[in-house]
Amino acid sequence: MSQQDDELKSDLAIEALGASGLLRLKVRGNSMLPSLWPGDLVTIEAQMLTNIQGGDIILYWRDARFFIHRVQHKNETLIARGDCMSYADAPVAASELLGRVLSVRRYGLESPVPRFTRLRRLQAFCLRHSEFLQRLALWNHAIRLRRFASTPRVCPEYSIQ
Amino acid sequence: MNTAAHHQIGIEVGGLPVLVHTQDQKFCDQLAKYYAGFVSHSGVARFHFEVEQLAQAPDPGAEISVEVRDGIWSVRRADFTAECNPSAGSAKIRQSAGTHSFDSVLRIIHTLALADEGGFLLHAASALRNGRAFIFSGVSGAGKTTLARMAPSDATILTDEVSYVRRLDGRFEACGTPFAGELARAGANTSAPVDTLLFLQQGPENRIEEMNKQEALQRLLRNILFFAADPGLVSKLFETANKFLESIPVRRLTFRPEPDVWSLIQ
Amino acid sequence: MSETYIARSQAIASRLLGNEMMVMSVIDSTFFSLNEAATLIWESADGCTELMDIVEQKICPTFQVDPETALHDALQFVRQLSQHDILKVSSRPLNEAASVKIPA
Repeated sequence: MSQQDDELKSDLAIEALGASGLLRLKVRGNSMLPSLWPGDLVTIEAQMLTNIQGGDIILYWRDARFFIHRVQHKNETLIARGDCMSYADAPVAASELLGRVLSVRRYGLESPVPRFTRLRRLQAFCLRHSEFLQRLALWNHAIRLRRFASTPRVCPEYSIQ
Repeated sequence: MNTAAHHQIGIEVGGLPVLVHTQDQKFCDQLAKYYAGFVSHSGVARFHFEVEQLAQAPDPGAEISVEVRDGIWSVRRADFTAECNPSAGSAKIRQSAGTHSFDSVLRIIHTLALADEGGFLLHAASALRNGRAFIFSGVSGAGKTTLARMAPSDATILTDEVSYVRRLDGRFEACGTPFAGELARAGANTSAPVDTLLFLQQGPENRIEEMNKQEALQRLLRNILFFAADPGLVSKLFETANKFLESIPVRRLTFRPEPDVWSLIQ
Repeated sequence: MSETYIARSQAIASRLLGNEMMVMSVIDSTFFSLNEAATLIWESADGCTELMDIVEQKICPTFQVDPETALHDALQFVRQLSQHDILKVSSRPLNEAASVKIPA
């Protein structure tokens, strides 16, 4: 998809969120592992900054792209960070904030927003510091989602007489 | 059946009516809104769900456990537990507040009921056109929602994410569902005989090609939603998938993300 | 070399599509698509025919392969399927002995 298509799609998404109060977006990237995985579908509700609390996962718009990150602190702005990122984002202003994640859909099933528990923090720490572990986790995640996994070809290959 | 619950609401998807009993009016109202279009007032129920909401919400995990033992379906995730007796048509559910946990239980019960009856839920979009249903399956990003968004006015979207396929009078039918994906709106509450299953991929031009049966079976199985490790039901699903392929044409649809692709789908 | 007997598991679902056998484990839902040679071995896995005999009588006459290569490949194939409980494997006919998995 071209950059122009991406921008158009984003504009439409923001408009839809404003009009209906709800939006569904697919998660891209690994910044929110292990809470959110690429391919997860998140439902966002439009929200103002005053209604956001620490621990919420928010959607905001900056540098012509969406960010879905978790709120660490709140004052006049929001301090947000991807669960798998080492550093917090630049403070999120009210004008950048679009909404809050309400639920997550993964391979056909809906669930409430995952909290950043102690276990997830530990997992995130490991994933943050090891690209190999990240790749392994992503591969394992893809396998677990598949109920009927087929195996690679194991058959003997010969020509017919 | 405990009749102490004060409120109830009927939800019918794919011709399977469920009557939800709850003491929480707010939850009842939430369900009415969430499943608008699929709320049933008939009072008829294949299943009675007795739902109790937990005061404290446990952290939701991704791991689902679905067991079938002595005719009872036990479904568990961190945010809910459900025990369902399909013969008695009853289920007891304890879940986190809100619709999300309930929606997962509802889908899983549907996958089990369908597996038993020769149908399945499929990770696919589907649409009704000219009285026939077309199903569009593909990996995430293949274009299911894109195709649904471009549907012309004479096509009715049944779902852009989870297709409902059931067996009725010896043929396969696709039913509309409230299970929406990125489209974020429920499908139409209607159904039609399945015409074709199309596996999607995006490309520079629109074309439809034959697929061999072996690849079709692999891809179909891979996209069926099913969570139980029950040999009887898994075996039934395998047979259903094969019967489906015997009676329904399967093609590969390569398309540009332009509305003119719909000229091939009728 | 010790004898090897193979038998199709009961815990599977299978269907022949064209020349290929589609086999699925109903225990763990892993799915195998067997080509012509593998399908011949699969169909001959009656528990009382030795694998070497299957190879010599069915595989070698049909395909351009010598018995030693064919047996080596067949053992590899059988090992893979037995690890998913698709095939039972034993050093004795399978109506006499308990099945064992071939170690990888």
